Amino acid sequence: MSDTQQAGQPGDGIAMLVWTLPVRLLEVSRSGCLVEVARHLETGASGQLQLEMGGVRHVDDVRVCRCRMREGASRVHYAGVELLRTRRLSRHSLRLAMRRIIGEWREPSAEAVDESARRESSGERETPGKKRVCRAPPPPVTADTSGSVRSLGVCAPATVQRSSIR
Amino acid sequence: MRTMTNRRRHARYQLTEPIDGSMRVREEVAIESWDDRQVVVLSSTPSRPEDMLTLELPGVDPRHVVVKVAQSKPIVAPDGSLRHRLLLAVQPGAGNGNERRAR
Repeated sequence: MSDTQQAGQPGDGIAMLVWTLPVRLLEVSRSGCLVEVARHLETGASGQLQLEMGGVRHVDDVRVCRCRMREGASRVHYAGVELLRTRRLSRHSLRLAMRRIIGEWREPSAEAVDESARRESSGERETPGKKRVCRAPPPPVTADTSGSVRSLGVCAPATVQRSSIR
Repeated sequence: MRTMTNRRRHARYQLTEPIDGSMRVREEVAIESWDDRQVVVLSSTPSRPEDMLTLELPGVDPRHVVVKVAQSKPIVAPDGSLRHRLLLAVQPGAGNGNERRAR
C-alpha cells in the first residue's frame, strides 16, 4: 500500500474513536443513572448521554462507573454512569431532568438557575449566610418501599418508583 | 430488608417506563496506518463488523471521519497488553472531508 500514511500524519498517530450507542434509561438518582446498552463499556470511559423527554433534548457528560452483562443476554449490558458537572446548567441539562424525574426539582426562577450554575462552576458547595443543607447519605431504605408516582413537569409521562437497592 | 451500600450516595429510582436515548462514548486509539479509503487503529476495546463509528482526527485541521468497522482482531501489543486492531473503512459521501466541525 504505497499511499498509506504511517502514524504521525494525522494527529501524531492518536485519534478519538466515537461510538454512538442507543441506550435505555432504567434507573436514576441525583448523581447518576443506570442505562441498558448493547455493548460493554469500559469502566472510566467518558462520553455524552442524550435523552429526549417531553420534546426537550437533554444532554450531559457522563463517566462509566461500572458495566456488567445482563445474565442470560450476552448482548445486553447494564452500565452505571455518573453525571459530570462539566457543562453549565440549563434547561437542556440532564442533571436537571434527573431531579425532575425523582421529584426533587421545583421549577426555579432564571436567577436561581444562574446562581446554581455560578456556584457549580466556581466549586462553591453552599451559599454563605443561607441555611446549611445536610449532605449526609440518606437513611437506609427497604427494598419493597415504593415511592409515590409523580407526574413529571417537562418530562415524558414516565413514572418512578423507589428501586430495589442492590 | 436490604439497605444501601456505602458506596452509594443517593437513593435510586426505577423508571416504570424506560426512556430511550443515545450515548456517545469516546476512546483514544492509536493510528497504525491511514489513507483515503481505510484507517487501521489499535483500540483497547473490540468492535463489531458493520458498526458505524466516527473517527476524530485532531491537529491543526481537525476532522471528523465517518467510518465502518470492516474487521476487528485481537492482538497482543508489544507491552504485553491485549489490544484490538480495527480496520475501518472510510465512508464516502458521509460528510467526510477536510471541513472543520464545531462540537
